[in-house]
Amino acid sequence: MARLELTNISKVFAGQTRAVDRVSLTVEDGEFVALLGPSGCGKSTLLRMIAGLETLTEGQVDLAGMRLDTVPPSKRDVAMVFQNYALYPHMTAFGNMAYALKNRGVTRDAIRVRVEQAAQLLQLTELLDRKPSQLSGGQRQRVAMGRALVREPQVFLFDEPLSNLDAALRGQMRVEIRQLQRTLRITSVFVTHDQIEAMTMADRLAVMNQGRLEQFGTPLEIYHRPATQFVASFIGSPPMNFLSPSLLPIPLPEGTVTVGIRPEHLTAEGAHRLPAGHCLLIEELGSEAIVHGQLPDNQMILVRVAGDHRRVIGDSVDVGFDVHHLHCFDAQGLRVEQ
Amino acid sequence: MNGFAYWWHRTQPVDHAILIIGVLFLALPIWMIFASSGYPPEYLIQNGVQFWPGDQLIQTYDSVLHDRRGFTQQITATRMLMNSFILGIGFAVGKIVVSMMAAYAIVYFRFPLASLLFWLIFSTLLLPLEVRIIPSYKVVADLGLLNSYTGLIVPLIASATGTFFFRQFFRSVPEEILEAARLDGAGPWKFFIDILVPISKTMIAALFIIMFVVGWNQYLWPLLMTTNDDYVTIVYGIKSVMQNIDESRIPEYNRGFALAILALLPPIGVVLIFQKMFIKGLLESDK
Repeated sequence: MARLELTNISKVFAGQTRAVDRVSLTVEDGEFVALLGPSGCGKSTLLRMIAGLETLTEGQVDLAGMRLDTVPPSKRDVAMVFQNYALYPHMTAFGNMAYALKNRGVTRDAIRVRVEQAAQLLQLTELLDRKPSQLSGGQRQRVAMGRALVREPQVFLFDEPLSNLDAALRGQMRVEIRQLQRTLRITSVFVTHDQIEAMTMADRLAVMNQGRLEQFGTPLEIYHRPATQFVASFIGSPPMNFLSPSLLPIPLPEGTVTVGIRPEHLTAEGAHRLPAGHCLLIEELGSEAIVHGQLPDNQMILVRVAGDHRRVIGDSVDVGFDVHHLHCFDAQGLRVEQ
Repeated sequence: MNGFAYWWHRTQPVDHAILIIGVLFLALPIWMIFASSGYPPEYLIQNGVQFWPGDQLIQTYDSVLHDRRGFTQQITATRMLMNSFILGIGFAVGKIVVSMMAAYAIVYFRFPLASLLFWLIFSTLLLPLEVRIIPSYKVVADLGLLNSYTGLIVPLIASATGTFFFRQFFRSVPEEILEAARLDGAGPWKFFIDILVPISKTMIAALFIIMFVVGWNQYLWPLLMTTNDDYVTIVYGIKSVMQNIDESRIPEYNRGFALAILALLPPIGVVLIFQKMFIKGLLESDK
């Protein structure tokens, strides 16, 4: 049972601010967790601490009930896929995948069997004799996955593994990684700054900002009930509208300073109306369009409408909302329950 | 014919002429030495260096390679070539091994005063062998290493240049490779042997070419170090043949020329062999 527990982890780089600030989270056995956040939020540092590539300033990591952070990286039963794949350029795909096993004293025959199994799973069988320079980006990515896979680790760590691929391949690899992880049921932690990757792949996602864990929950929990204003603004595209309470014609909970509402929840049919504004810009996406509107006191709003909307610039924007779609935040940016 | 192709055809003969002149400029003297080595020394004294090969080519080379000469009448050119080979290879391999290990320590291990030590090593670039030749000689003599291959090679193999080149190269190796190797269970030694040495192949080949030629051409150090004919290198041997005016004979120019030609061949061979590897490595490498 590979349950990964992080307790109060902090990382302070020499003389600098806290890169990671008292983060606690638990990854259940077989679960796929994404660490999501803007660059510099500490998500990669957190991952590297799990791998043992960085030391902990404070806190503790446990894997399957055993203390992990005092174990040297080579002895941790953890495999990592790097952003630039970090394949050994002078070894063939086979050599790359076999290297860890060789270092662990696995017999030659057993290595062959395990590498070939992994290669079959990843459709690499034809490519095992090639060197990394003779492989395409997606194939290198697969070899990097294979290198992690053959070790049969208790935990898989992914450090933005898809960010070097082009969009089409990224979408394909997203599905492949997810399916593979489902099949193998290996506990996985996946670092990304791409919310679509995080939302579509993860069982649960941890949103980080400035070293702190802002929210940890399932993708839908995070979308529907963002715990902080940062999470609300970071998740969702186009981003959530933040309005001042005075614009809203209804009573709001005590302490509310900002009200958030997603562009897709502003509709013509909404029960309560926003003051009418006019349309400044329309981004046509075919299946839908994003209308940029300006309300009376210069407040900007985004409204998502269907592709056949027939609006032009200068038209009035008159939309309404339902109360249960509102997200209220206090002066500290924390969610206020309605 | 478009403009570019026209220009190309126009300029090609001129380009080639320049290149051919350059080649002749470099190659003709060597050819003349080769051609002259086929004449008896008396003829060369009277008529100067010759352009067309003389009729005694085979005789000269055969006698140079197999006749025992030198102070003790014990040394052949074959032996000199072997000595030079041992010096050249020991010099190049030693320098590469020492400087790779030094650079590995400097780049991958954090130890106190690491950068100070690096600059200390680097500053020795300013001190060529000639500056420290007396103390070096004294040390080698005290260790009883005069007239030995060890004494010939070891004092020369510390290399600031090599250390610097490898340091720069190691620093360009992505850190993730080290991290991946650590996760794959490779310790410092395994990482060095399994990963770093193979990816440095091209650097090693390049340095080997340079260092072998430098080692092969060493003159002053072997001259000081060796008093026994058994350790005479070919570069020093040429000099001693040309100086051989005992028994009131004239210097044996033909033998000297033949030795010079023989001394040229191994460095050329090394450059040719490693150049192939070097270019192949450059094309393949992808960090």
